Amino acid sequence: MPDRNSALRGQRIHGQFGNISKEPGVTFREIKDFSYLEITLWDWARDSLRSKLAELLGIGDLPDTGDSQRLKEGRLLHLADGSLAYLGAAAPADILEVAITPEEGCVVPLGHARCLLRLEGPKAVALLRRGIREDLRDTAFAVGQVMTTDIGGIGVLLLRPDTAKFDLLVPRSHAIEVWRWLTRRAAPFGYEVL
Amino acid sequence: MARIWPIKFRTLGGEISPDYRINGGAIDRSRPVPFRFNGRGYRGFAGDTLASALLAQGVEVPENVSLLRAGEKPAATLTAAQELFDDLTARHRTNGHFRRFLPGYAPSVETGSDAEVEHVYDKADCLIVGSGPTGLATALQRAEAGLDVIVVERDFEFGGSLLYDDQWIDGRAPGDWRRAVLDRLLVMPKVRLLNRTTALLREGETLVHAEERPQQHLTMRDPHLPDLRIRHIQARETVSAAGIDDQIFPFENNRLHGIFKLEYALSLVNRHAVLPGHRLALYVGHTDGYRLAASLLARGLRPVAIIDARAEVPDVCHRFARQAGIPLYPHHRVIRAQGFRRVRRVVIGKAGQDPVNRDIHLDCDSLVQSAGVIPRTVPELLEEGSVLSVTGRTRGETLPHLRRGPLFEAQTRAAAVHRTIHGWRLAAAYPIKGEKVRAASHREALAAWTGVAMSDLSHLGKIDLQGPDALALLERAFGGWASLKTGRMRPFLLTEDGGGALASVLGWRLAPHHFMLTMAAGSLATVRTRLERLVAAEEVAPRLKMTEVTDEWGGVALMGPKAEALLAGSLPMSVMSENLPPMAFRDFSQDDLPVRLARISLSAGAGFEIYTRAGYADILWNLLLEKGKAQGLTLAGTVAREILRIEAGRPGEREINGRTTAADLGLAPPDRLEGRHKSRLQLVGLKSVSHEVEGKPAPPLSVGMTLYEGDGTEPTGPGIGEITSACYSPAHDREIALALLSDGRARVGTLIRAATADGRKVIDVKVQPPCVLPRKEIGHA
Repeated sequence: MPDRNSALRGQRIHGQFGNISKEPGVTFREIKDFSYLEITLWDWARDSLRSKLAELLGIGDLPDTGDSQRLKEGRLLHLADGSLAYLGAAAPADILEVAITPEEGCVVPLGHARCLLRLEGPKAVALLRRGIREDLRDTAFAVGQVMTTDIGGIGVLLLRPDTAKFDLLVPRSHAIEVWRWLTRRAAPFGYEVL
Repeated sequence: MARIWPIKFRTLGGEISPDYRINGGAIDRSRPVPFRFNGRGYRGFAGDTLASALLAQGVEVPENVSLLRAGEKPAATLTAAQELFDDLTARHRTNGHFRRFLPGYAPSVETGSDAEVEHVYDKADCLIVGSGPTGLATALQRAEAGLDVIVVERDFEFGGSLLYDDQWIDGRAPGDWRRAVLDRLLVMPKVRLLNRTTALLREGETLVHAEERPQQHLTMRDPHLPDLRIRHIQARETVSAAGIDDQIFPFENNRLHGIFKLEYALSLVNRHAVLPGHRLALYVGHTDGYRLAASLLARGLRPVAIIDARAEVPDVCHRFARQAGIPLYPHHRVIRAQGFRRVRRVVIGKAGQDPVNRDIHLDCDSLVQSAGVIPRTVPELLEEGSVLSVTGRTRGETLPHLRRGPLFEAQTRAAAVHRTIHGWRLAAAYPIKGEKVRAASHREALAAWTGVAMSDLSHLGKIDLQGPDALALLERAFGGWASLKTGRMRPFLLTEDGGGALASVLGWRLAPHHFMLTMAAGSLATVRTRLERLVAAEEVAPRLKMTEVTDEWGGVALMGPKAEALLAGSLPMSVMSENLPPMAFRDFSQDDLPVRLARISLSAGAGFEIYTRAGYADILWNLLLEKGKAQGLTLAGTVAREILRIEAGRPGEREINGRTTAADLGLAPPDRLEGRHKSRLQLVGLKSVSHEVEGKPAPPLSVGMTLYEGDGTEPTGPGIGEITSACYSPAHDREIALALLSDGRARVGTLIRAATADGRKVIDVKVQPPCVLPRKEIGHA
């Protein structure tokens, strides 16, 4: 496939910024090539499709709501009842699109509609607390969990792949505003753009 | 403007001294802090407040001062409790008003409008408001139990009354106890200690809004820090340990300077080592008030009198006063304070007796009072706007909802002039060689008739609808979808139940159970809300998924007679008529680039819409730009597209406004008119004929102009219609418009007049069908 154009083109400049007298508190990385599919299972086919999906993806069972399951090349997210998402490389995404029939559910590819930002570092939680109202403490939002929330009124999807690591899926057309907000709020901690 | 003078007082020995500094306290005398107040230089010490440093030098302090930093406008209003820092420059806030000094720690709710405000959403198991002995002990106890604890303290130092009280705790002096507890709390990872943070409002049982001022103790403004940080702290348990506040006695002139509350006076003496006055009278209503006298005695200073308002003063108080040699006036009250600006004398009398000839005059330079104490609490947010200046801050930050399409950057490179329309930053025009936007737009619109023009469509609202029940939903909302074949598109009009037109959409059938709707960006919310309501009204959850996919797709429109030739040279798929009939589309790949190509002409003339995934949109854009050079491809902005829409007579959002019906807009036969939306206002086209009559350039038609009969009568009153869209048509070389006109279609061919609201501009116009460029004129253009 051709190289995907970044939604942050002209905005994302590599280097260290903000309070750089110390180690950067947050590191930003934009992941450009990824696949993101929203999968909806119709009520009547939900049980049969659960096992079919689990088998297809090589996992024992689907994750609980609000949780995610690591796959070989990505992650399966359980967003809400009957609503799943796949985030990762393109190959399994293609399989999913073919495997789910219109009678069972549907798949909507939204990889190009989102900008994927990875935030890492000791101050990543402190930064996110400046925009996200939900509880981000380890006990409330553990590793592997996922939530739909908003930053300043812009809907985002937040995933915690590791203790000090967060993946933020931002609507592409709002990506520049969210990026500007993130970098402005990260300045007191010092931040690095990779 | 009132001047604030250093006030000098006579001591008991009769010498004049402006110095009120005494030994002891928690200030750091090894760190002098220079500062300026009202243009004069002073010096305090680290640990001082602005008020204590000024009072130490005999300067009265108003209630509020404005903080200034070199070269900056007043940034914020401070209370006198502002901590001192190097080169602080402050001035009296209220011009011409000398306000009473009410030292305290009221939250400083005023902030400059340009102040940077940051919101933080904190979560904890336990929030403790105040860091006095109760607050710190509770924090330690909760933290040792493994809870997440947040302590907010409005002062710059933690400790509250521990900083000035002399009551021992657990066998330790208050200062030692405070240091020991703080040392333990500071190393606990689940404890957050927030100083310079004031709890403003409590909302419900678990939410407290607090404000933190991270900048106001810094000599140089830190560009990375906000001026104000609003913390929204959600905690399962909130412990109010904000200390106590003194109640004051009512008496005449109790607003003179030199009259202090007890707790503040204690803080001045024991923490900041500053005397409230050299001849101090104490006026109390409870035994705890004698603490100040004890503190002063410990420093070898004696109050001139204690006035105790109680009828029954305990023996312990009598003994204390007797042993200390302080005159005690039990069951007395202060009748009035006397002095100019500052208290010089108080008049007291026996409580409950006629004061005539029985008054006692006490000479003093300060009066410290406490009628009783009440615990400080965090006020509750009862309703939105109840305390407007504070509640406004309980709302979180909202980011600008400015959207940028995938071609924004490419358009910027092409020197586009961007404007914001329906929240999108869109290319209005692409001026070249110093062109104005208007001239550029005319050139771009003309290119769509004579050559080929390309315009960005990425911002168009797009809804993806899938599932076995999707078709039924679309039938209910619009009607006519069942006959739409896969691979074809058709325009549909969304109407409300009464028939009023809400939005125009273009429907695409991607598969038997898979549809896409595209529409103007401004119509997206209306369409989505309408469809969601229909879904919600279903008794059984329908098997369908509705997703906004606006951001997933980037696309362009190619318009003009050379568009087909350009495409034929750019894409592998033949776009010959037999392969791609009008209102049909095909999906295919071009060098792994997924492309959706549609033959569509919603403006007059030939046209195509080409979409790809948003991340590849600029590749498509660049490809067409490169290939289009040979065809003279012209980039067209939104202004040119608006001209093309009006020329084509297509109704836009001002015509599809909920009050017009499909029949009014000419999109349905008149005999289908029914219901309350039956209207005589019909969509027509207008063209200016004024210049034909007067032989000079026609004045512009404009939106909102009222239409009047062309019979020569005065154009006054409500008129017979209104212009809803207007522009200069470069292809037609005249002013044209769309209008909603009473009995419009019956008036086609007649002359009427358009007038501005003030009646100064009246233009003759000819009524036409909405599309003012018939086919023969298109060829000519």
